[in-house]
Amino acid sequence: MRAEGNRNGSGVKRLLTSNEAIAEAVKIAKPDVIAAYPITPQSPIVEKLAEMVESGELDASFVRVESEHSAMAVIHGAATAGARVFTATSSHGLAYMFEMCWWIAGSRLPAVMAVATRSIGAPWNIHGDHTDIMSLRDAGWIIGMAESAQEAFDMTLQAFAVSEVVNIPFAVGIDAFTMSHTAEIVEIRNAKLPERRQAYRILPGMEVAVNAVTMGEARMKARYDLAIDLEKSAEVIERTDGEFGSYGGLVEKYRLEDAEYAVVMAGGWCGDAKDAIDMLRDEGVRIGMLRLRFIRPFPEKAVKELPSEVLVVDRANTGIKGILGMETAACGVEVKNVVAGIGGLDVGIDDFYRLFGKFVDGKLEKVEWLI
Amino acid sequence: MLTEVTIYCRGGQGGVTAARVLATAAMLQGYYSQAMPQFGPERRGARVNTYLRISDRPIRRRSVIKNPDIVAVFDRKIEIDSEASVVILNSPEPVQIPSRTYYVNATEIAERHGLVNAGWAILSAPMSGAIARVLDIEISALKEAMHIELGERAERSFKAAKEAYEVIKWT
Amino acid sequence: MDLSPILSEATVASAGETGSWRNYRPLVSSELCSKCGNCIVYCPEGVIFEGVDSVEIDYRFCKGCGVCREVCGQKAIEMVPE
Ligand code: SF4
Ligand code: SF4
Repeated sequence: MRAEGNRNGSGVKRLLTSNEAIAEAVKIAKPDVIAAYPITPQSPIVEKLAEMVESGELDASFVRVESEHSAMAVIHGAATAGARVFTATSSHGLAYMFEMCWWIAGSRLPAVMAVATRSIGAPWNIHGDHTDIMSLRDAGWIIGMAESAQEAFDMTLQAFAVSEVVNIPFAVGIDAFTMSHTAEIVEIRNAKLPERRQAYRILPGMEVAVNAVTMGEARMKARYDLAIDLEKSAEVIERTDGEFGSYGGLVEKYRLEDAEYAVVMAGGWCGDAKDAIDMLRDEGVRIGMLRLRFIRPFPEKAVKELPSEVLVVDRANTGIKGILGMETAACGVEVKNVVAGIGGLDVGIDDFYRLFGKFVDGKLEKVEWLI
Repeated sequence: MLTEVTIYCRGGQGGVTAARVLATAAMLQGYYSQAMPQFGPERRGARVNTYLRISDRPIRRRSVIKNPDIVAVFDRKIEIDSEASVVILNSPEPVQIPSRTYYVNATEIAERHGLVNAGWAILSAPMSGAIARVLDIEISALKEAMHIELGERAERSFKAAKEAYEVIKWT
Repeated sequence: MDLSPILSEATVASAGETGSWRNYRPLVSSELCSKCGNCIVYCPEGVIFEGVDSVEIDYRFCKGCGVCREVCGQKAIEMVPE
């Protein structure tokens, strides 16, 4: 039995989980400092990187810390001095480092963090949904969501390139387990990143006050600048997209050209949903998907171009609504919103097929939970 | 064509390793492949499923396999609660089930090759040999995959895999 | 990119001369002070420095809080009304 299916591309093909793919991309990015605290299901990323540092494959300082709060504090400090930095976390780990996430964004320091997106307790649950990464929305980070191990690899490289141009930290989301622990074929592209650049660096001997107490309108101005620059980072994301894969920038449009019905989703479970869309297409239903590759900056333009029938499927909620449902509606689009797959609840092709069928038949409530 | 395989085994028997070895072997033969462990607390001896997908087109789905084409059972004591048309069994003799059954005494092969750890025979090697045979994966690809996935453990494992590949029987 | 909210010049007394807030003045006894440095670490304004016979206080910025007196094991600091 032989096939030629996976022979495209020039890089080496390897079977890698998204965790392993991210570690490989980080190795190519050659960070100076990595600091992390282990948490399921992210741990294999930093375990792999620690191995690389130990074996000499990767020339970086791996700082073992006692908490995620310290991990982010360490990379904040290292980035201030001009180091290329990386960390990874999940769920409660992200919650624990939350304060420092604001500091690094507010300090306008480039940094890359992988988030294996997982439920936050209680009740206790180690499985996948998007609750944790969505909590970063207000902190001033670029937030990307990959769909495959290949995209996790490409997006991690893109993250360094974009973050260091726009001076905004970049989080790369991968679905817990169904991506983090699932091995797929990844092409290790021969990518090379430009030298580290950033807006400022503080070196020994310099006399400067960093983040001193702000008076008057300084804080307001800083927040405004960050908001504007985060919006503008879309251009840099679009521009660098082609260098690290080619996915369509902020969004991937799947079978949308002539679609009457559009599904809006993000993350690793989009693959199953696309298979369900193909089934409906075979039946003549004009349905497609707008996959949000980025949550920040939010792809407002692409959302506004959607056909009139829109269903947003969310894996994280705010009150009774889904978060992406709320964000999409905030662009002035009328949406149906379904919350599903919380706590790693398996949502497969058949589930999506039934759900999309109900949507097309006009039988969905404004907001529903797929329980 | 997409082939979906579910491996039924116990924690520590090597189901995840087998799936990875087979996915890599399929990759080496030009296929797209995916190896997915069952997610949950890992506990030696507890029953776990591992999922393997092989296709000539990119694999997008990442949900668990609900209706596998093939079920591979590492421990005969695990109940086969599937209607898969093909079953691959670790067993010295065939069992009476409606599915087409392949069987090989993987435990005996593993033990004879010294593949035992903490009270359990490690079945990843002979069972990946057996499954590779059923999937029509070439023995050379299996060998290379074992070197990629197992490193220095590959040599001994491959001997066990090759034996299972050759002696597997079917009903 | 405007970095002014983040980076500023590191000047002494950018928040003014806090010495004007003081009601009680800490006086260090050079006889009792062992120069252990405890007060240097604890002074919230960072205005105690090592001197020749004892520590010395920069009264332009000492706000008279008395923390130094509390932490001095030698009871070498006395707070006297201004
Ligand atoms: S704590 Fe007391 S003894 Fe120690 S340096 Fe200060 S004044 Fe002197
Ligand atoms: S009174 Fe307060 S501010 Fe003044 S020297 Fe002592 S500790 Fe410092």
